[in-house]
Amino acid sequence: MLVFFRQLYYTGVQSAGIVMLLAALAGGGFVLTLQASLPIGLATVLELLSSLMAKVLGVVFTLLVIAARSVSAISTELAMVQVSGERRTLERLGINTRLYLVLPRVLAPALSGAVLYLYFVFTALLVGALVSNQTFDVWELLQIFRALDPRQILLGMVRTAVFAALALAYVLRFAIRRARCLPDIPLAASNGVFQAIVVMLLLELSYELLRSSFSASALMTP
Amino acid sequence: MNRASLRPPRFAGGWSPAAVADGARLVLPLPHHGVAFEQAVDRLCAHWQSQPFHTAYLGVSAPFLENISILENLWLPLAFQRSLSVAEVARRAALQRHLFGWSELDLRHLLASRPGDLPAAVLGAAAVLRAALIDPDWVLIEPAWFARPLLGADHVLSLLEQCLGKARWLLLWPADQTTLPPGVGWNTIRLEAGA
Repeated sequence: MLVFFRQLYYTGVQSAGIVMLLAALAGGGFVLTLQASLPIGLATVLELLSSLMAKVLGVVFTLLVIAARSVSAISTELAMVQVSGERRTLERLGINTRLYLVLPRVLAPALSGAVLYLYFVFTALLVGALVSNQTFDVWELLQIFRALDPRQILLGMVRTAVFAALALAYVLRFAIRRARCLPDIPLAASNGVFQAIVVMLLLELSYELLRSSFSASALMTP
Repeated sequence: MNRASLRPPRFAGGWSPAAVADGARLVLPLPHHGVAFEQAVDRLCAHWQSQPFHTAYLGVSAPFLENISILENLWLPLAFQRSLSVAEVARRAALQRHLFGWSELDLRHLLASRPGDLPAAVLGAAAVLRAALIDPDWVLIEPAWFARPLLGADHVLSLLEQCLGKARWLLLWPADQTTLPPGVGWNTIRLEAGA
């Protein structure tokens, strides 16, 4: 549990600022670009923003932050444990290294990812509404948040958590055992980040393909 | 559980009651060097840890996790073997501190420190403390424990006898090294064929 809470702090708390900064840039940038290029009203812009953030960008950006910050740190840490011989000592002491080393480092970022996704979506909407060139109206802002589909938000949280957990489980399974000497440690980190990004994006792509094929078949059903 | 009846399986030569009595000092020659030797030790430790008795392991290379305190390092095997809390481990460590000649302040400093902040001799003593806290029936000892001890060579034996005297010691020793660590009446045992 100690390791789990530590990882929760590293991934959930320390990454919150970065996620919110990205969300602010993405939300603000999206609104300003759309308003400058298309003749559509603020309500439509914010509706588009909330839909895009909740359905796609919230998940993708949060996963990328987890890959960049947590996967690199965790891969490095576990590769060091392997190279230094600490993992071997743990196993000889009768400690289940999958349970102690791997499981908390998969579950904690997954749980943090779900919360970071929420931070991302709400920050992006808030900043998007603030930077729009209309008079700031709290009531309008509340309407935007109310317009968010709770099922969509829940689905986004679940997707972020599940995809992060699967990518980390895949990366760590190979990152630990392959590290043999010191030069393998930075390799484990860079390979880990790259593999995690590929796995996360493939999972998201597969989800989108599945979702669109289900939507198409639902439309074709008489 | 009747501890006197505990005996590890898969060893040749027939186990006499004296061979596995409390305080037995056994040497198990393992057939290879290098990677093969380490793998043999890994398999043996895994086998021992799966048995229904308590086993401690004394090793020199990377004895502790560097990114957690000594207290958490002491607690880890106990959490897995006996589900003890960190506070209980600290309490048990305090009961044993006189064996190491530590004051309460020394112990508090040791428990709060990370392994990288401590000298090798203190780390060696901490490894013995970890083994003692397990209250083991068996202690598996890697060759380096005697070949390149963290503690002074004389101090190693006296500390082991004080803290782990009642346990059965099993020294995992490369087969071609005929000179065994002095000061202990070792009995050599052998693995069954195919074990």
